[in-house]
Amino acid sequence: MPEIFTAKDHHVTVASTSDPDKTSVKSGTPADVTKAKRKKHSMLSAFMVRPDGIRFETQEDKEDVLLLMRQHIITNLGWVTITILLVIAPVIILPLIIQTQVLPGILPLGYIVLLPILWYLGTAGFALTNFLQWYYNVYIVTNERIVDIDWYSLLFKQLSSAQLNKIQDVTYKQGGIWDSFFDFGNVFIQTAGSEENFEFEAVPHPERVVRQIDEIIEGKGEVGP
Amino acid sequence: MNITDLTQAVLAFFPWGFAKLAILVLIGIYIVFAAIMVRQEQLMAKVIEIPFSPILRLVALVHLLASVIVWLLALVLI
Repeated sequence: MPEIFTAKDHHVTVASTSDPDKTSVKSGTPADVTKAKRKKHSMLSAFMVRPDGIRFETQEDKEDVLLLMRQHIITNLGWVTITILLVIAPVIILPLIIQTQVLPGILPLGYIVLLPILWYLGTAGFALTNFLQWYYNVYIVTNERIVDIDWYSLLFKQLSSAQLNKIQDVTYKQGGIWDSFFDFGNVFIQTAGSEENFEFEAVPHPERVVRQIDEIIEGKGEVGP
Repeated sequence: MNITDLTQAVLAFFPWGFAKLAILVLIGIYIVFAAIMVRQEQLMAKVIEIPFSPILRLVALVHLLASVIVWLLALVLI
C-alpha cells in the first residue's frame, strides 16, 4: 500500500512509487513531498489517497488532503435498482395497456405521449438527487484535521472538522456478510472533551482508514501495505 | 352570461381542462425543484471542489432545461 504521509521534525520522508511494486524514498518539506505525490483517481472512486485537484471550503493554504472517502459505491444499490425498475416499467406496462385498448379509449393522445415523458423526467430527477447526495457526502483526512461533509437533503448541509491533536480514539466496525464481502464499515473517531465525535459511515477499507489516521496522528514513518 | 352558460363553461372545462391545469402546475413545481437542484449542485461544488463538478453542473442544467421543455410540451400537446 502506498505511503501517505510521514513527518519527522517538519522534515518529511515519503516513499514514492512510479511502479506499484517498487518504492523509493524521497525527502523534502511536507508541501514539496505531498505535492509530488498527488494522484488522479476515478471520478466515482469512494476511497482516494492523496487525490489530485481536490479542495474544500475551509481548507488552509498549507493543508493537504491525504484521504478522501465516500460511502462505498455498493450503498447506492437501492436507489440504482429502483431507477432501473422505473426505467423499465413503461416499456413493459405501456404496450400491455395499448394492447388491452383500455386507455386509448379514455385518454387523449397527447396524454399518452406526455405521461411517459413525465415519468422519465421524474426518474431522472430521482436518480440525480440520490447521486448528488452520495457524491458530495465526503469524509476528508488532511495533515491537520479530519473533516466530515454531510448533505442530509438538498437543502441541509453540515460541515464538521476536528484537529488531529484532538482525536483520542479511532475504531472501526464491520459486520455482516455484505460489509465483509465488499470490505466497508463504519469508522468512529472520538474527540476530546466537548468536541463532537465523528462517524464515517460505510467507508471502504475501514481497517486501512483507522491505521492511516493513527499513523498520521503519531507522525510515524512509512505506512505499510 | 347567465347561470346556465356559466355551468356549461365549467362543464366544458371538466375533466381535461382541469387535468391540463393540474399537470402544468405540477410540472411548474418540478421546474422549481430542478432549479433548486442546480443551485444546490453549485453550493456543493463550492464546499468541495472536485474535477467532476462541471459535468454534474451540466447534467443538472440539462435536467432543468428538460423540465422547461416538458412544460412547454404539456402546454401544446394536451
